[in-house]
This record gives sequence, C-alpha cells and structure tokens, in this order.
Amino acid sequence: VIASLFSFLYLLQLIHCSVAIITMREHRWPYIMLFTTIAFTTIASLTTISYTVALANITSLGLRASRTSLFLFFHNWSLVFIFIAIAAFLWDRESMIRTKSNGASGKQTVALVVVPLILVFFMFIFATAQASASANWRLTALNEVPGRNPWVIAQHASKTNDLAYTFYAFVIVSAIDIVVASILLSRAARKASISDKVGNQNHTP
Amino acid sequence: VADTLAQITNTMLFAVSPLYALLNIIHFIFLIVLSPSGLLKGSVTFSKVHAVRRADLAHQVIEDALVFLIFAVLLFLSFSRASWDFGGALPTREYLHTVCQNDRSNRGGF
Repeated sequence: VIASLFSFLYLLQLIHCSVAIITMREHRWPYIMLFTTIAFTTIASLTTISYTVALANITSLGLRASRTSLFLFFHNWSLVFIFIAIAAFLWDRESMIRTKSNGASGKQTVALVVVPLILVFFMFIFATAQASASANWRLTALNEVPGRNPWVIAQHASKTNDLAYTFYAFVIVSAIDIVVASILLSRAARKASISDKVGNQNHTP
Repeated sequence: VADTLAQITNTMLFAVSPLYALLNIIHFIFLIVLSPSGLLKGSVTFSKVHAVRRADLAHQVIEDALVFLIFAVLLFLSFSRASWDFGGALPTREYLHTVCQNDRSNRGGF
C-alpha cells in the first residue's frame, strides 16, 4: 500500500517535472537530472509493488531473484542521480551568482565540479556492481544442490554485502560534499549580498 | 524583495541540503541496524527475522518520504521563475554605496 502511494506521488512529480522542463527556457539541466532521478525512483517503487502484488503467487525463485536485482539496480542509480541533481542545482546557483555579481562573489572553485565527478564515477561503478553481484549470488544459490557447497554461496553473499557497504560509503561522502558545496554557496551569496536584506530592501526588480 | 531575490538559493541551503544530509544519516543508521553484526548476531530466531523485516520496512518508508520531500521542494522551485535570474538584477557595490549615502543624507535632513 505504501509503495503504491509513493509510486502514484512519484508519477505525479514526474509529470510536473516534465512540464517544468518543457516550459523553462533556461536552467533546464538540473531539471533533466531531476527527471531522471524521479524516473528511476518510480521504477524502483514499481518493482516493490510487483514483488508484493504481482509475484505474490509465483513460486519461481529465479523471478524473485531477478526482481530483487532490478530493484537494487534502479534504487542504487536513483541515489546516484539524486546527488547529481542536487549538485547541479547548487552549481547552477553558484554560477548565476557569479555571473550577476561580476566577480564580487569570489572565485568559483574547480573542486566543486571535480569532487562530485569523481564521487559519481565510483558511485555508478559500485551501484551497478552491487546489483549484478546480488543477481549472481542469488542465481548461484538457486543452481547449487542444497547442502553441497554452502561456503560458495556464503562467500557470494558476503561479497554483495561488501559492495553495498562501499556504495553506501560513497553515498554518505556525497552528503558531505553537498554540505561543503552549500557552505561555499552561502558564502558566495553573502559576498554578492543577495541574502543581505538591508541591501535589497529598496531594490525592487 | 530580498526573499524573492534569494529564494532559490535559500531554499537550496536551508531545505534541500539539510534534507539530503538527513537522508544520508538515515542510510547510515539503517546500515548499522541491518548489518550482519547487528540484529542477526548470534542465533537466528523468528523474532529477530521479524525485527529485521520491520527495520527494513521502516528504512524504505522513511527513505521514500524524504526522497519525496526533496523532489517536492526542488519541483516547487520551478514555480518561482523570476527568482531564477534574481529578477534580472543584483545590487552592486556602487548601488549599495548610493543607498547608504542616501540613507545618511535622509537622516541628516531630519
């Protein structure tokens, strides 16, 4: 029920986002990234529904294994795209402040682009690796004769867990990157005095 | 007016970034809770398995709610079109200087 509710809400947001992309003349890139994020999140949510509703009476373990891997793939990639979308929004604001203030906001650091790019690169690798490793160990477990070689299955499961931990480590580091980028943005805004209420009081556009 | 000019920047700073940080703190907490050395340490019992399933469900619900909120706030920004370019104007240093001088001369006039 919860997954259905969220899927419905995500679908509404997907429509809203597509309208925003079509109607906006500039600043489209952050919204294109956001659209991709919402699309991946919606598909991940729909796979959850498929597990509880459509596959409830299906006993095929292969189908269940593939569903779990599909969910992991779309869920992990949606986490990567959320980070890209928020970084794109912050980058858009920072460059706009810099352009409009004629350099009064200070220099824009290259690290704001390089660090997210490196993080995204590793996040994509581990997001995909975890989903595929999960599919691998589940299918291996299915093909193994029960009780014959439990250590192989345990090793596969352990590898999948390790990949998940590595992926989430990068996801958590991405939050630190967003916090640092936000601090830099607030500094730039203060320097350009756009958040200065005294300076802007009489400045009606 | 200041709120209109800096609306998007302020929303990013005070709504989206904290929500994203909170989402990752939630990930961090549930990674520890759902780790093999957490709930499933020692012998596996039915109550432990149920606890893990409940924790997993709680993780999914909280994550979905936070992600939905982040999307909603980011989409809400698309309504305030004028704010994307600061209404086409930003106070320059010269402008601020003039405002301050006018303010001073007004006060002197009183």
